[in-house]
Amino acid sequence: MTKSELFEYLKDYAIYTAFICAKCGQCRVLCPIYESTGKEFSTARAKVSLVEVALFTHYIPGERFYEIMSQCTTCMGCREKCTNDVRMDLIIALGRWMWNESRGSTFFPLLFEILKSSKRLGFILKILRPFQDLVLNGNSPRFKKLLKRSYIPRIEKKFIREEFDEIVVKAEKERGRVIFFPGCFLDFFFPEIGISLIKLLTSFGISVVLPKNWACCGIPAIGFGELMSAYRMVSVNAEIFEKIGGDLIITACGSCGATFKDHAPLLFGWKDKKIERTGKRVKDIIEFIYSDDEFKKIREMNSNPVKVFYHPSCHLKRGMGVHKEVVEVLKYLKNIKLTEMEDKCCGFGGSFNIRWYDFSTEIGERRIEAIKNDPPDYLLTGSPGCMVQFRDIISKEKIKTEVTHPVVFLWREIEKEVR
Amino acid sequence: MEKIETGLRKIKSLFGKRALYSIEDLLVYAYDATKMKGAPYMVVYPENEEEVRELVKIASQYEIPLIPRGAGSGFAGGVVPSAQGGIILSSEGMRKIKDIDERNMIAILEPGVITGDFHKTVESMNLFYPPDPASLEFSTMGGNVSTNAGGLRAVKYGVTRDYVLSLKVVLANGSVIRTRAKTIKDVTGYDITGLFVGAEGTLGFVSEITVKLLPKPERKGTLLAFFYTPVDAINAGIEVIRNGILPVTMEFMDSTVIDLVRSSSPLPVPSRTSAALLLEDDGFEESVLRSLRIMKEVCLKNGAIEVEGTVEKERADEMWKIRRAISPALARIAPFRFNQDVVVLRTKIPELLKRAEAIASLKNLKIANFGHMGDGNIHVNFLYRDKEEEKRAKEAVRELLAEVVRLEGSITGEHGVGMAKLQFVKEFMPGEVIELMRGIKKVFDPKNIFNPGKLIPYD
Repeated sequence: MTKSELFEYLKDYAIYTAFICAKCGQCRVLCPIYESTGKEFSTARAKVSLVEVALFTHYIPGERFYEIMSQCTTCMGCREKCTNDVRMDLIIALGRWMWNESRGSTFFPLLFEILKSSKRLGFILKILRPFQDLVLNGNSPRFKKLLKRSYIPRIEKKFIREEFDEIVVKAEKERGRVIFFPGCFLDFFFPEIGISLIKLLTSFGISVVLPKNWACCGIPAIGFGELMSAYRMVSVNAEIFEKIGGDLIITACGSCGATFKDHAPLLFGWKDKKIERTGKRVKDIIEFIYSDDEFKKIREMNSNPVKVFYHPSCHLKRGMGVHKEVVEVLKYLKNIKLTEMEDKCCGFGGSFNIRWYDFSTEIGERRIEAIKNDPPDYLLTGSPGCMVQFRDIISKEKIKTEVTHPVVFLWREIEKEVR
Repeated sequence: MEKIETGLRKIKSLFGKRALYSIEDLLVYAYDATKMKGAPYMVVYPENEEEVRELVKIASQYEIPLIPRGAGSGFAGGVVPSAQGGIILSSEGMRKIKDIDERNMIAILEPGVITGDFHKTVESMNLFYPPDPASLEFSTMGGNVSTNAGGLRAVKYGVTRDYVLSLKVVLANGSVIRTRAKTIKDVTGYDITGLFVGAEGTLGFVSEITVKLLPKPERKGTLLAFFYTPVDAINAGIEVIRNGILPVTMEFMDSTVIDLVRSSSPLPVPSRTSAALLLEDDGFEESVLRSLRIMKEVCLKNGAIEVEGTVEKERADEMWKIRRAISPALARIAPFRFNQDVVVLRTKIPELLKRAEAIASLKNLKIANFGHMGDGNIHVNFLYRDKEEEKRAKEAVRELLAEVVRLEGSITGEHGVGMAKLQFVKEFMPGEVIELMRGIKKVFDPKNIFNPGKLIPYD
């Protein structure tokens, strides 16, 4: 697919959107950006109408255009509220792409080229690893902005793939087999999630296939408005998964899952049926656990009395449509005291957090209010993005709550029982 | 032009960072929920009454129009700058609930307060503010006052006007008036408050609103009924009221609409149905149960095929799903529609429906009717897909409004005039009344500073 083909497709989509978007204003109701500013320019309909103007008039996107477009956490709350099913998230991605194009940026496309191969990225991160403490603990003014953060995910010593001897982790009494797509965050920064997932699945008779190499799911590229880079990443993965064939693909990152299942098929599925087929095979780990009756055995197991808050990640809930499953599965644990947090974005949003760190933190702090007075033992969430955000704020506020992924928590609770 | 530029410079320095004038910001304030567009000169966010006064004084001196704007969710182009241009005077900087007086049951608000947030706040105190326009989650109280917003609960509880006790208004000469005492009763002189409710920002800027509150009803009961014919349904609705129950809500759906939302219905949709009613009543549990029973009996007596009533919230939500599914469902069969909000007396609804359908079939258009039967406010939707159908739909709208006037109804019951219905006001409103409105406008705003080009037809 050429750049102009993709652009024409999105332009057609934007024309369609311009028709169906009634500019009613409903999109602001769940919007975390509007929640902060309370101003019209933060609404999704504002972004949609600016993209319309940029596409259909002689207006050339300026600095303010970018400012408005970049103030979006991609939580898709607008989409959930829209009665006409307008896909604002795609229009915003298009807006960001148009801005990049008008400036001819080269840095990010190059960076995303690296993300096309997990092997290459892993290799580079391994080399960088010894230096990370030097940079992150030092006082280099270049990283000052970064250092405002209380929590920065570190490159782990051991990646998921190095923990296991084989590339297919076999269950003792194999009942089924799934492919596991770890994604960058999980593999390099939060391997614990992947390791727990594999151990949990195999102990319930599900073998796990780890692809030898894969590409980043593409969501950072979509977020930064580098849609061609995203297309290349998505194609690499579709190719890999077609080759491995057959089985379900399991993700444990709501953002990766949402990209496979939702964003990629819509953006690129028309060109490449492989992408569409791949999307249909993707399931979130908790969704999978919920669908497999064998896991109901967890109900009979002993577990510690713990107080848990669950934050529904936007990409998991709105992008993949997985919510009730997580709540049900967590309730398998006898002694859990579970509270579902409000269905509102944590404010991370990847590129948004990088470009507008203070803004992003402000949103996150509002969410943390719910646990401030009586901190629970765990704050669980299905996307590593939300984890980064909450870990940052929680360590800043010195709250004693562990932020982790449901699958890590689940494995920790039942590990002794299973063995 | 030079005069305007000097004025704009002064306003810029008055508001500093709270004045926006980049092209992007102007484009973003160029629309509302109609498809009309018009970019303002500037957008300002005053944060208190004093700032509004300063602004109005400058605007008045340099003759720059001001367009008060809440959430921009109106259906009439009321906040879209007209050909005269102007500054958007946004209430987004004035969002405080100043006071909720539980013992006197009144609340004092700034105009930018979001109606839904206000609902939640008062309901947490066991109080109740009934007006609930469909846009309540995002529309503002200032906007609701300026358009006299209605809502689903209007049958029993009335519209915004019925709750506004007193307003503070910044007038075009920069002075501030309080329109009325905050008491339930006050008959000293003309009803100035009433003038500002529904004035669409043409008479001044409402800077403070005092509304009355009610005790929050304990329970809600919901009833869904399917009928053979629309006449049966409307008769049943009228009979329910005659049997001593004034329901909170009385929603009507015609056969086109029912067909579309069939799959969202919680109870079996009878195959021969061509109308449905959704009724709701509130109060103490005992009384709600009793009124559900009576409503059911009356519906069955008037030819209902299938009826179900409930006080369970989950079941009620399922029933409401059918009503909420209408808009997206209509969008699926035809991407565009002219949604009219005409009002007639309840007994004339069958005649209105008949004439609307006749118009649609003459113009070869698809039509869908639903809406607030209890207050005679029916949303007649002419659906269209392309330019050619759009032309016919426009003609159909004109004919429909003429019929409504013939039935002694009103051409707009909820959305207001703005710019969208200006030509129809000119056509269907008596000339003497228009002349009176012009006179009133002149008294309050002789220089035509506030929201020019809206509500009142000139030329």
